[in-house]
Amino acid sequence: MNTLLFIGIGLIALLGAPLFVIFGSIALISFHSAGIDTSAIIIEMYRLASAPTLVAIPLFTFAGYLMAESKTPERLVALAKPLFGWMPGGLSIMAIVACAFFTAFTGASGVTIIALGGLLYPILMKEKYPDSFSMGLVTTCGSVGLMFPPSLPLILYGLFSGASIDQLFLAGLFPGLLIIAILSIYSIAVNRKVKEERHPFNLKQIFKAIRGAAWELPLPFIIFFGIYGGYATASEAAAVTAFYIFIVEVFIYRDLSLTKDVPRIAKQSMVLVGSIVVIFAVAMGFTSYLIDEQVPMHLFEWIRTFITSKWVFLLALNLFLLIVGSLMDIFSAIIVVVPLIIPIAKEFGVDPVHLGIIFLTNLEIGYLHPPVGLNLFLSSIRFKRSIINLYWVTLPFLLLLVLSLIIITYWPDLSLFLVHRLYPGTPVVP
Amino acid sequence: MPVQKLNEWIGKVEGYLLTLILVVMIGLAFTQVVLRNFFSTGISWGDALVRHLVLWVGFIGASVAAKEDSHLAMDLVSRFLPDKLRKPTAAFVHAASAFVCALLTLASYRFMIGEKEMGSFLLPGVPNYWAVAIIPIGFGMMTLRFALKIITDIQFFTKGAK
Repeated sequence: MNTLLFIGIGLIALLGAPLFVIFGSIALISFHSAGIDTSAIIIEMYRLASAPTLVAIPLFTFAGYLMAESKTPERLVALAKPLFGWMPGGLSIMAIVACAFFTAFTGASGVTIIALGGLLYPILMKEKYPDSFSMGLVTTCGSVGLMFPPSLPLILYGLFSGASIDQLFLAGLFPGLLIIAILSIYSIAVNRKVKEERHPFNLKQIFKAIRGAAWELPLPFIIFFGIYGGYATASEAAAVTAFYIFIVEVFIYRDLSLTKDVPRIAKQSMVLVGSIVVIFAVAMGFTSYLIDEQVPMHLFEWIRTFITSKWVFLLALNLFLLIVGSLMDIFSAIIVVVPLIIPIAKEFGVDPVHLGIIFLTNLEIGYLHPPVGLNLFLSSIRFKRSIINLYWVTLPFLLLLVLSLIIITYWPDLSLFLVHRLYPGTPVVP
Repeated sequence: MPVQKLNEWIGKVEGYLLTLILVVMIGLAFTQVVLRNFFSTGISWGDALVRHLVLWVGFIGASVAAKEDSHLAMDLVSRFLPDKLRKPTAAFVHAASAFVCALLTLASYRFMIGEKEMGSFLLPGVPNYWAVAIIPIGFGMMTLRFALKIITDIQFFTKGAK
């Protein structure tokens, strides 16, 4: 009977049923067959609702959507152009940096491609970059920056793994910069022959652009100073950010109308928050059931029969996460997979903070991974390209991201040394 | 169809509610930060209220997501289905979703009753179970919306067959 049900659930999952329905039905079946009242599913979820970090999710999401809908992308590009335009391959680097900054705030929900991609692609084409390179770069950059604070996936990972969010924010910095560096070097190398019009370094233009974005630029510093100066927790930083961005975009720049735009943006952003909240409403019950049944421990013992080394385990984990990342969106993947992986990874001696960075790098690749990477679809809609074409143009970028993943996985100190510096008390897992 | 009109109208109300709750949430959370850092004080029930408001925006948002068919999904096969098969499979998926949501509504309703019997208060004069009532309401709304979608799916299908 249950086998039949699970086949049915698998079928509707493939046909595109909401993930919360899938995990909800699995939770209902497992609780019911264990003879536990199904209201216990909701109790588990309510327990997590008392985590103070939860508030950061709607607040940062709303702030990110406000920025995406206002003229922040234009101001960002206006600033990045004179800053990087004088370098060889400068405009492609500008595109990467602008996207990374923007994605950190919008949480990689795909807004970057819609809001920034449409601005950047024409600029790249005008400067005679090859079309396939420009398209590939814009599609890839939709998720670069995922590891910079205060990105939503980082916060979600912290919430579900129990790892400190302050430490995760620090740990993401250098791996994020590594990815930017690798993509930039590639861009310079590939476009040596592009007769790009060099824009001379112009201090005046930079100052003008800085003045233009003067209200938005301090934001990353406010967040960093707030958290690491000990003035605010991550969720308090989220409250300040949301409040600040709201005032700046609505009352200072006046890009958004309080009565027309704000309600629409509130609704759009909370649809995303809502679809995350319901998944965790049902997944918490499901995963805590699995943990009570010691499924991760059994899984660990089974894995240990053929994997004994931490490094081989990390390789297997990468392959597993790439598959997950190409099937599921990043939010669902974190909510469902993290609670199950954490105990196993701990047994292999993987630091939960480092694991988080590995996790996010994998899922970042998932955005580009055929057949259903989200960025591929967004780009295909935004730029009216065929998916197959996008598979090809993003392939070199996909390989570069895999290279970054290998470095990030096998060089834990890249993620962890800042954490150990600032939090000397944290145990170093051997 | 009057049901569709009602659905649209509820959608509008949900939009305004979301804006209102978000504004209250941001205002309250920001006030707490200011009070704590500059006056070393705070509203004692403030943080708990903000956390419950997250549940409210979450479940109202999820209800809107059901209306707009924008819940997170795997979408592995459906994107590549031929047009002819799309509506029938959508009807099937919506029916399954409505069924699961109905069960989750019941589960969360029993959870809410449990909270009521515990008799705890979220803030002075507001019992906790009022705050968690949004969970069964949200799942209930999703049940109705998925059920409504089955009807439109079938209507489209029969019209398209002619």
